[in-house]
Amino acid sequence: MKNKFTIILPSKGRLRQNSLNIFKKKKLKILSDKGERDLAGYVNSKKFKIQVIFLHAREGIEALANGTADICVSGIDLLKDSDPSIQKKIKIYKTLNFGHADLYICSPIQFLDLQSMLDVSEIASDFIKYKKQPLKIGTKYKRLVEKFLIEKNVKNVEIVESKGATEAMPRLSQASLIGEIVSSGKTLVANDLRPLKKDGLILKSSAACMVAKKSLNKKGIKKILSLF
Amino acid sequence: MKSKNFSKIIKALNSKGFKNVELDPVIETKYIRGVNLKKYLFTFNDDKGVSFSLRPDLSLMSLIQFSKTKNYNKQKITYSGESYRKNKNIRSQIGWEIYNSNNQKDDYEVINNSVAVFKKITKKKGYLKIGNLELFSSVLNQLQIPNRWKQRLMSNIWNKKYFYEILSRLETNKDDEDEIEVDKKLFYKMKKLDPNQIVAGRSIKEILTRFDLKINKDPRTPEGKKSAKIIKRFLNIKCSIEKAPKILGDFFNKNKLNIKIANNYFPIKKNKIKNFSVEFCASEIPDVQIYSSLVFSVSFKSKNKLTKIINGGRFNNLSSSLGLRPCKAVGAAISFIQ
Repeated sequence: MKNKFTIILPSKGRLRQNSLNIFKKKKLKILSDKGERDLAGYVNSKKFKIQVIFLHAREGIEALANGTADICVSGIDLLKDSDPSIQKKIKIYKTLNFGHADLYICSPIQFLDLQSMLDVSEIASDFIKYKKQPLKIGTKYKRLVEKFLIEKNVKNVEIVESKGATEAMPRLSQASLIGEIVSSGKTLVANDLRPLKKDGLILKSSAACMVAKKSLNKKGIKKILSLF
Repeated sequence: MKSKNFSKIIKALNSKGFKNVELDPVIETKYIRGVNLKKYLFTFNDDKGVSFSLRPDLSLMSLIQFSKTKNYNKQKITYSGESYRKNKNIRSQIGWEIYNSNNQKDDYEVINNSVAVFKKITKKKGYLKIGNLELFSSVLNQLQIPNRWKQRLMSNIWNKKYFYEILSRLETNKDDEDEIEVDKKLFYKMKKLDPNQIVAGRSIKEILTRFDLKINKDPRTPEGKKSAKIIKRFLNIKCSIEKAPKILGDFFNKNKLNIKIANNYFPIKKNKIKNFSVEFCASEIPDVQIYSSLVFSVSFKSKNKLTKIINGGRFNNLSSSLGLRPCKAVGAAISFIQ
């Protein structure tokens, strides 16, 4: 009987396209009974039974951790921001040459007086002193931002979790700063924001092929991983 | 540490007038500010959403508990028990502290008890290192650098890696200048706007005032490199306690720093302790941000390396910085990992 493997690929955007290109290059076709919009497919292989599921990049990581998948393509940023109990169940097999993005602390361009994390620290102190409230930082990456702020000794801040367009938070006064992924920087510029280039870099990220540690014992896993 | 030693220490402290206190196992997370404690907390929220943590440090717990009482008299207390941090196994601590303490004699008493505790648990040679944060602050105040840089250095001295990163920025004079040039154009544009207009939670007025302070009122000076050198040399000063006043005096004269060496910098002036080396060490700064002036540690040598087992110092501003009533205090604690 053929060994069965489940691979999770990103369901949208460039991450999806670049992941599909990996299969294309190896001349492996992802087939689906219901056409391109189907979130599930399979790869015809003589040796293995490979099921491919298209999910949000964050869900792919969760699927590895809860044992429903063996391999996934997702962002290193998302893995590092996940719960430590999830991270310990996953191994980064290979970093991939796409999905490059850096997680930065970003500020509105009007914050002329803010050039470094030292300024963030001082402005946060002023917030507590004069406004009796913490400086709010919006982000989808709560864990990573929190850890970074602790390392930079920034106190008196509150992390506001963002579900979607983080770049809009300063405009709506939901947050004064944001912790957000920057790739080309165009979205930031369009929203009158700038990254703290000097010392506001939290993480350099790219897409990666990740594997569930539990699946490493499965017969044939190395062959599948060699696709990447 | 054997439990026999544990009870021996507590008994000895009780005989010196330190009264036992019981500490709560949980603390409101808002009271924990230090980077090195914050990273390793076990936290949970109650049904009202208030965040609590298992106590990561007993000394902090004890001060918070005492500051919440209405006791304004001098009080000598001792505590013992476990502290909980994610990075270590359970750490047991015994501490001895003097609250509502104004007096240098108390510093001496706490140090003396630290030596006595050390002697209760080992016959090895002890190494007592004494430093003083007020002295470091005086050095910073004498340097020709902007006030915000003095504050930056002072508030990050606890985090050595980050402190030296900041120091190297001061040294290279490359922190803000490039971007400030670009921002000047926007500055003049923003000056025409309504000063009360709010951008992301800050008013135009407050942004422009702080920017103006950085570029005009308290700008960087070319003295950064020289000042960084002085700071590094100061932090390298290490000598026997007897020689410290002279060596520090010479250093201040050489670098044209107008600092008087106050008596309270040295609660011990001569080393009269048998089988102990007593040193002044300017870089004797623990990694928790609680102390205000005196800091000290007691170590023993193992495999040619010093192992610290007792840390202590004076923490006059801690309770008020946590929003509690002011309470001047001095204390020390011994900790060991189970």
